[in-house]
Amino acid sequence: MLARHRKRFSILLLFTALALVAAACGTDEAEPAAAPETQATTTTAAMVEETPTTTEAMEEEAPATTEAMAEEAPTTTEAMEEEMMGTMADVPMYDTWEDVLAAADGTTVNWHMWGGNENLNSWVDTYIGDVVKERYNVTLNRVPLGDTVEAVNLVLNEHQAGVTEGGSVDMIWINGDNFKTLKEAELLFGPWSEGIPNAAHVNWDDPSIAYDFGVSVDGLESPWGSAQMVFVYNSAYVPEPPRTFEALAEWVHANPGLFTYMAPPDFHGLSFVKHMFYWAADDYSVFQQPFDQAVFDSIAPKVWEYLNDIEPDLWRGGDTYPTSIGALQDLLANSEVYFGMSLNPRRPSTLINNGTYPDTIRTWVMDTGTLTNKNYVTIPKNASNPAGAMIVANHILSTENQLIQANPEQWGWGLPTDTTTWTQEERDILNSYDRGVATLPFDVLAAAGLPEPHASWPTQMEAGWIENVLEA
Amino acid sequence: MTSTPTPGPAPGPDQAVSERLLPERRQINWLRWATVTIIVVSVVLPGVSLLLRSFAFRWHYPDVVPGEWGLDAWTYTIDDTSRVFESLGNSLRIALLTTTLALLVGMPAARALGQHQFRGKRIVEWILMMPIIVPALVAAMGIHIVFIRLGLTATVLGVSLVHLIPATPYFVLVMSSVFANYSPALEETARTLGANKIRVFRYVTLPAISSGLLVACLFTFLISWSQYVTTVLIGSGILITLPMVLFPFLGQGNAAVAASITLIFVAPAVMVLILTSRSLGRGSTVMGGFGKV
Repeated sequence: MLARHRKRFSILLLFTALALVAAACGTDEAEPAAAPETQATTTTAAMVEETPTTTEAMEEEAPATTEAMAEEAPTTTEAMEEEMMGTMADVPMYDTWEDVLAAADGTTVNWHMWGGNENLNSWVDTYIGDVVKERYNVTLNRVPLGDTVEAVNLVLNEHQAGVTEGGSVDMIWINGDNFKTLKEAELLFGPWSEGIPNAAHVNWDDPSIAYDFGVSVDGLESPWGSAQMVFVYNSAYVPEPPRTFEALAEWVHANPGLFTYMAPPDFHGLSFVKHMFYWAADDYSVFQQPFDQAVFDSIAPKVWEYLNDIEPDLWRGGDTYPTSIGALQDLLANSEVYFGMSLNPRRPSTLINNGTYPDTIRTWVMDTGTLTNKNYVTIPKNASNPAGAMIVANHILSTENQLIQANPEQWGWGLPTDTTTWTQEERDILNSYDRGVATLPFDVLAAAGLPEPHASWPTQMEAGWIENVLEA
Repeated sequence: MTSTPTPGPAPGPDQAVSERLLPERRQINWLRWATVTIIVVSVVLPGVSLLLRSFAFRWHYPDVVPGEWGLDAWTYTIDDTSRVFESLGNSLRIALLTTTLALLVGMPAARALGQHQFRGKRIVEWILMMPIIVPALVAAMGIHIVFIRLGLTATVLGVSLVHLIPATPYFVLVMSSVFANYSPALEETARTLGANKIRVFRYVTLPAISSGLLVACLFTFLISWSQYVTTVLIGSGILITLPMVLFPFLGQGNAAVAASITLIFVAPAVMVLILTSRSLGRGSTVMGGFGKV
């Protein structure tokens, strides 16, 4: 009697438990749209991994500027802020910058950003977080992510759940496809980035700023850093690196097993393949136009021929390729290969300083040039605190912060700002910085800079590489 | 005891028995040492490597020990910026709540599955194992939307509820095999002797299942402890747990920092394991194999 009663009770409880589990599993079946979105964006997320990358593409303008030009430019940040007040008109919700300051007073900004660089984390907390707290009473909550796509998914899901305000993400460190995803879904706040006071320090006529991987920015994100590809080599083994792709192929054949590149879709690997296309085409301007199958078919065979030719003499006979920048860094650090690459020209110097690389590591660029791009901060439409986020974005662009950002002893990052809008004094400070033993001079990098191809090309290049090189 | 049989005119019965057992016992001894060695090598050695790595400044192939040492990684790890201690607290709270919830949800299910035969039992078992087959992230994507509406995102309860999805199957799996070897007749005996339900549970049921229960709770705790993607999603990135602090450093971050945070990440698990190893050794039905080692 007792046993039967207990049995019935247990089964009842069991089904309660089942109902809970089933409810959990069932929910996803009811929302099938959510999963594919993640997958679509995950493939491109690799790009953001080394978004902590930057170049001094803009800094090169500093030495070139004449005294006369500098004097013409407004001399103080204060004067600039006065001048810019009018453009706040386009910004939704707020009429003047004073409104923004008032609205943000005493609030918290949740800044979702990749968190795998301890120097960057400390820098953001100290030089941005502490300053905006003290000056504007805005608390910066840095949310460390393994991948920017996680923040994009949060915003997409909140949108799907009907959260049109009070969202959990106030600001995202972003560029490329993640920006494209949110812009196309119309989930971004703005336009705002050309209206904030320190937008005066940004040259919005520069296509490398106004277009994020071919996608028009339209005031929906504000630049933070800039990236440029450099090739890395170990000077202990390679006294003089090859400066053309022809010379590289010769070197690889003469020294089998000591060169490799990352497999696309890793962003570094894809960048390497893009460089091959630019080399094969002679004229890279064709890639600034939307994708053209005829052009692709006329150039691609030369690229596949080159890559298949060197494949047997790559690291491990080309049977496998490193899939992350960390893996390639390890191979180079352990002298298993003699070459690497970086999307931040100063990163190799930093890696020597923090003990990752041996001190014989140096960088170089090919005679045919290297790709450069920008990264940004953006504000979701449903952000709880767009005013606070704008204040942080504005502080990033202040000359005070830019000088800290460029200082290798503090952070050592490239600048998205137009230094011709700075005072001569400020530019002198910038030029006095020690750039690090493995970092190329500003003018060399600037002269080598090439624009990224239009956003419609990379997927074709990636698919072509997988079909014609990896699986061939 | 030697391997050569003692020559004697009339070997006693005791000696005969021990001689018969001798080869088998030897084998067990040998197996035991091999197992211990394998466990020590596979558990302790990576730990030593992590410890070295966390203090290493320059450590390149083929050096066996780091060429230069530094405290940079630990300085960062214990700094507020790394958010290691803040996230450690959150991780503990979430894992403990998940374990409590798994007890409430999983015990009845495990008991029913372990002690009763009923129509459709296989299907029920299969459905219960579903979260192991279907990645928790897939479910979490949908649940996130529901939780936003319910206001459960970025809360400890919300995150624990989602951790319950991957944890429940393991809890039920372990506990149902415990209950399969447990006779409820003892409970009935105690009841007939006048013990109330609470006393029966305290003095009969609990002692019988305790070591299995400990293992099940340990599993649940560790599954919750190592969740990453579901936590980011349901926690909105605002509720920071230890894996969220650690994962960005794996793969491309500073390996020394990754090593030092990893050591903090594995510390609670190792501590719990050491503290409970004695009860695990009591020949429990589930971890009997481990217990004997």
